Amino acid sequence: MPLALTSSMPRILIADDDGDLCEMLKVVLEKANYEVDLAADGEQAIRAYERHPADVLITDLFMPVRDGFETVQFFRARHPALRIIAISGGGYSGQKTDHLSVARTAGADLSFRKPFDVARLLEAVRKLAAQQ
Amino acid sequence: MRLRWHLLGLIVAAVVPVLLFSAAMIYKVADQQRAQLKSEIGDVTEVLAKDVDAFLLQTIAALEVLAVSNVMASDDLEGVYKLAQRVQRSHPDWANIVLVGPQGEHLLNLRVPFGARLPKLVNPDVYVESARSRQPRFSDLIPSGTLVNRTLTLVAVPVVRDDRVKYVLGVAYEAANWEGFLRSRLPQGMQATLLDRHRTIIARTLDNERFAGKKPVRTFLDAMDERPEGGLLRGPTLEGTDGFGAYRRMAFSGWTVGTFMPEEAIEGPVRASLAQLALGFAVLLGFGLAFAWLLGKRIARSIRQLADSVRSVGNGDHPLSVDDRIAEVREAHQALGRAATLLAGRLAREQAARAGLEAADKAKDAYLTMLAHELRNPLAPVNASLYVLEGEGLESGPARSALNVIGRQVGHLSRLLDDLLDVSRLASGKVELHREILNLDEVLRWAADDYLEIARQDDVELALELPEQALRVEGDPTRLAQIVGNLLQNSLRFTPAGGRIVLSLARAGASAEIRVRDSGAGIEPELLSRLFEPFTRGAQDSPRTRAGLGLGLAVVKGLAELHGGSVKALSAGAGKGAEFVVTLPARDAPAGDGNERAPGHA
Repeated sequence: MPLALTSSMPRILIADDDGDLCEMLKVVLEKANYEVDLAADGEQAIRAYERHPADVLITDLFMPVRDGFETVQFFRARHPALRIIAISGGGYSGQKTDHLSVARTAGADLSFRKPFDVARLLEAVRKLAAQQ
Repeated sequence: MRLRWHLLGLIVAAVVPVLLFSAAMIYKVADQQRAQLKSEIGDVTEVLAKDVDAFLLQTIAALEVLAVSNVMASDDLEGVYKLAQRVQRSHPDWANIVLVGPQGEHLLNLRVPFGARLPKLVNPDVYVESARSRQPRFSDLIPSGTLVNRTLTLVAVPVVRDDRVKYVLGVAYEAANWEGFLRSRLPQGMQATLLDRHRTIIARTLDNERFAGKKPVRTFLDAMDERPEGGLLRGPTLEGTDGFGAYRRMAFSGWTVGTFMPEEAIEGPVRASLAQLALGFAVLLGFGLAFAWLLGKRIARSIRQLADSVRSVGNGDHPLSVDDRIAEVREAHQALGRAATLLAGRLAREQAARAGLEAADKAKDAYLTMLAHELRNPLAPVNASLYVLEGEGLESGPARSALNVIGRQVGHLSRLLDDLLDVSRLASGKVELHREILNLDEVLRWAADDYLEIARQDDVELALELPEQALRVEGDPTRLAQIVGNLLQNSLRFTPAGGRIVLSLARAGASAEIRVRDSGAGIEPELLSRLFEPFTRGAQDSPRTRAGLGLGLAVVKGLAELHGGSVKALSAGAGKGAEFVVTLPARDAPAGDGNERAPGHA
């Protein structure tokens, strides 16, 4: 990851069609000293990554154009080093058919159910970014 | 009872009355026959009596003819002898002919060749009497003859020439002669006895030799004492044979003839009739039973097929198509076919209706699930926004309070959505447990952790009372924690500041009991039973602060039951606090350590 290495700050890519959530997470993450890129769907996320490869991807599962599952699969196949956190309102703990479980099976490292504890998300991002 | 036996019963019921009626008829006819026979016996006896008299008179007449013959006028005894021989040949019933002098002299005897010397007569009285009276005479029974040692009866007729008794002609009858005479005149099966004037037996058709010269049976004598002329007899004979009889005294001879018909001869035909009847009915009954058996088999087969058909329809299949020989059964088959068609139609409609309802129910569940998911999404940016605002350093003032309110309400809303999702999933059986053997006290401690801070903020004391020994259950740690969490949350909501909540765990028999007891608002008794019903709770309760209670407890109930346990609520009433008891089956057997783990956050 030559481009990522040129930056001193880890780069976080957020893909979610909820602009408000993207905005707020960007504020929170930037305040925590991360570089943040935003994307409104999976397709945008792939293009954004191609411009600026990120260390951690936070992606929603249900998005237009290219949904989160495909996006996770795409990145896991092309960029195995990328850490991925899946977030969704449709996730549910303890369910086999849980979307978040599916996402993890597809290659996401962690998952958070909306609404999530932002502090915990930050902690998770910190740990994953440190693995890079 | 099997059909076949019913039919056999029917046949027997039909045959038995006919049998009884016929037997009664036969008995009645037999009775009439018996009466007729008795009157016949009387007639036969009377005729017999007259015959005996007539026979004696004929003998006398024959002797009188002999007496006036020319040879009697002469003294040609040899001629008399020859004539007597010829006469005897034409009277086979005569045992002997004698010629006796007026003083009882023995002159001629056909038993002895002519000219041979004759012994003196042993019984001359009847001849002497005949000569003296010049009248025919006959004797009673004479025990023994002059030449033969046999019982005899004698007839004597005087031969009068020139107004003087020249000879007396005599005829002797032996008992055998009388026996033959009686027998030839008696109907089959009947016996007769001939008695002289002294009631001594002259002859008898049965055992003549033995009884001739004897007296008849006592009952006969008594009957003759009472009614000498004649009458009926009843009772055993000298041989002891039972039967009916009659007797009659003869006008001319003064002798008495008795007849007798053995019981057997009277009852025999009746018995034979009854036996034939019985045999006939046995055959009839046999045929009837055999027919009933065959008929029963056929009907039973029909009924069995019908039953099979009914069973087939009961199983939802088509009825058997059977062209039965019994019209009613055939109709039943047809009706069954129509019923099956009707049933199939209804079933199809019902299934379609049910499928529609199920589809609608599924759609509703899916919609609820989707709704819960979709409603959760907007909470994420709100939460993130709150986090950002928290970082702005608002320590106090109205903005800080507003921030707190938003934070709490987002939390409430989030849990409400969780409960809604759980309730709909529990209702549709979609919740799966990740079971493991675990220590329940650890689950409780972990679940309580989340609420210790909240309780402290609300100024409510949350106490844990855990047993010293680990209490194991098999269950999903996350779900068990959810049970405890929901109960704690419920108690916190209804317990005012300064109150107390106790979360305890104890063994109760084969169960583990989790109790959450609070000093809060309590529960009205009428509400206790409905407390765990989802969706209904909100409508029953007006204060808005209590909204949501129903869903949380419904989730507790559903999850407890999924674990094979139960939940109940106890309360002394409004304002007196409440206690919730969750009972779970305890696992006594210590599980391997590999199966155990301290529950942790997902």
